[in-house]
Amino acid sequence: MILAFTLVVTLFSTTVLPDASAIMEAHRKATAVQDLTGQLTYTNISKSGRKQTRTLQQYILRTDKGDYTYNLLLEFTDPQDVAGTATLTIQQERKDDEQWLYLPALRMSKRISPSKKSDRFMGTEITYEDLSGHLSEPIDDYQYTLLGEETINGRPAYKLEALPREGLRTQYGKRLLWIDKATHLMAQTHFFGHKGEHLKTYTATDIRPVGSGGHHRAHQIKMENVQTGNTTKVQYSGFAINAGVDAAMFSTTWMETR
Amino acid sequence: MRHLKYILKTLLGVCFAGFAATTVAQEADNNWSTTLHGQARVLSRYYPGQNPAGLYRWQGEARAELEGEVNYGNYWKGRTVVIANANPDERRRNRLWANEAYVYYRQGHYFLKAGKQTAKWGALTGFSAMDLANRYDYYDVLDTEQERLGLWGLEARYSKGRTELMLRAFHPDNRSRLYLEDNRWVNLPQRMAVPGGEATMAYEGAASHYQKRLPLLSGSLSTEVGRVQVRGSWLYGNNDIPLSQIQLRTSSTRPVPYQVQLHFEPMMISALNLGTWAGEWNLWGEAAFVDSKRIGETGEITPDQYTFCSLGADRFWTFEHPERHLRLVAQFLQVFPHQSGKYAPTEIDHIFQTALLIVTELQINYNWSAALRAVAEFRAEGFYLEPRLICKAWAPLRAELSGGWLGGSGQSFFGHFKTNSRIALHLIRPIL
Repeated sequence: MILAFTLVVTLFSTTVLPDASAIMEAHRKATAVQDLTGQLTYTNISKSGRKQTRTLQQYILRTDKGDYTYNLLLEFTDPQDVAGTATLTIQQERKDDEQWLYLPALRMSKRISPSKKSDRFMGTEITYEDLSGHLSEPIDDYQYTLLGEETINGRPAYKLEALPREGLRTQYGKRLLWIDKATHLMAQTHFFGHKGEHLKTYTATDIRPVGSGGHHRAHQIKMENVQTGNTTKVQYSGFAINAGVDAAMFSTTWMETR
Repeated sequence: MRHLKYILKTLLGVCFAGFAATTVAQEADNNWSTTLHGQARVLSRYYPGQNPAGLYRWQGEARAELEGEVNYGNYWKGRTVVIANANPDERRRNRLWANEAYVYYRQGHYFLKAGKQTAKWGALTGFSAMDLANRYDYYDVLDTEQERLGLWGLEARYSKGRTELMLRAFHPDNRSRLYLEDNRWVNLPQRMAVPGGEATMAYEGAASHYQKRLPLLSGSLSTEVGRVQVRGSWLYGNNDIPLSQIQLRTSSTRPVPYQVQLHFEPMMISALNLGTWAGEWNLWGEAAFVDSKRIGETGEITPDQYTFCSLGADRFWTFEHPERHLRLVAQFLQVFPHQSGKYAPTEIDHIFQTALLIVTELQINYNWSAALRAVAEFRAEGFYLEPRLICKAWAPLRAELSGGWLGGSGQSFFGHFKTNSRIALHLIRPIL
């Protein structure tokens, strides 16, 4: 009788809970877009409470290389001492991204040395590796294990462990992921170093539908650096997904003629 | 060419009227967007050193800038920048003007901009020979970044892939603003030797002379070869920095009246720029040929041809401290004159001959930054140091306290004007 009950519970569990790779594939589908535009305001908050706020317009277009790489154009709009500054990034699969910087004082765009994956993006607590994963989780590079279910900010979520596959160059030895059950978006991530130390915590809130295409997006995210006490909060607005973005925007000519 | 400015003004008027009318008519069309920004600036400078002519020690100025833009999708844009400037010491700085008023249109690979627009010719992270053609308000020779003047003209670009062709044409009357009188950067003669001693001199204005009223024309072709950015540029027009000669009206009266003759001579610049990176350093350089004119040692206008070479590097560092970062730009410049003779310290085109330029900025935390701009001119033996402290603790107000220390040999620009060492306070705040 006990054996039969255990068998039933086991069968029930395996049929109800999808496997980790299916969850991650659903997550990738939920985040993958052809193009995305919107405005974001990020605030860096130091341990002692000092703040730095920047607002920028983002334009994202999936490259035509058939993989999950994107072209990103970011234009700062506020405050005025950085307004007009723009960066153009062309992501490359398994290669350094190509990057250009436009500084309004110089009135020119220039190719700059590619950022390391561990470099902080625009002084935030988000690294280039985080940003890349945020656009498209590289599911072939990780081994995922489903750990169970938990509630994050009042929403049910799958809890998974992501371990890098042998040979992958990454700043993280392990990540714990909480994938929102309803939207398959990332609700929370804990990032750990190669020695197992907890580095950062990512939290996404205010998950809402965007447009009529069935897409959802978190409108607020937070990245807390557990080691330094620094936090980056990001507020998104004006999302448009798959509404069409002119490919000509992702050029130095565009940055110089805005 | 003489009527180009008026044709452009009329076209702009029609375009802006069209924009306004269409904006109202198509409120429901979300391709239209309008933005309005503004900022106020207050500047105060103090010169501890006494100017030889006994000119002002304090300078104060207030400025308000309003920027308005109308966009239709990513194709059409109209932009205007209106500036109001108030200066209790210099009445020519009390003015209200539209520094920019242009429309642009882009379609596919093509881009066209027409109207009054600011332009920067140099395409280098540091100082480029092409920057000699930039038009500024030269009220202060060292602080020109906020003094770029709008020019009436056209800019056209064609880009495909990573290659771009750019052509520009600007009206001949687009000139920099010069302040010959009561300006610490211009040494007008005060006295002259006469038989039996010295006589005082009296300035009676300036007269401009043109060999030809040339439009300012430029073209550039840029591309990327592997990881190297390559740009070839060419520019032709009147040199905006005039050659000056003193002409006595008569020598029999006292004080001796004189007029400054300003000669605007043709200038042509051709430049080749290269840029790449090594590790985390961005590397760049320029070789340029400048064909201009100068006042020779006999007082005649003579050719001034030289090759201008520069090499530069810049890098950005971040630190363990999450708020801290450092940016460094270093550039070495070398001028090779094609004729003999020494440049005078007052020849603004030749401030740099063999020089090292350093620009660095350290963000200490989100509220405080420290910056340094430094020049070492080795051939003429002069230097300039400008430390700056930037405070954003009362954001959105930004306060900048800076010092400017000029020194060295009197044969260098920096040593010649060493009495213009100063301290300055800038307050900048958005108003919209």
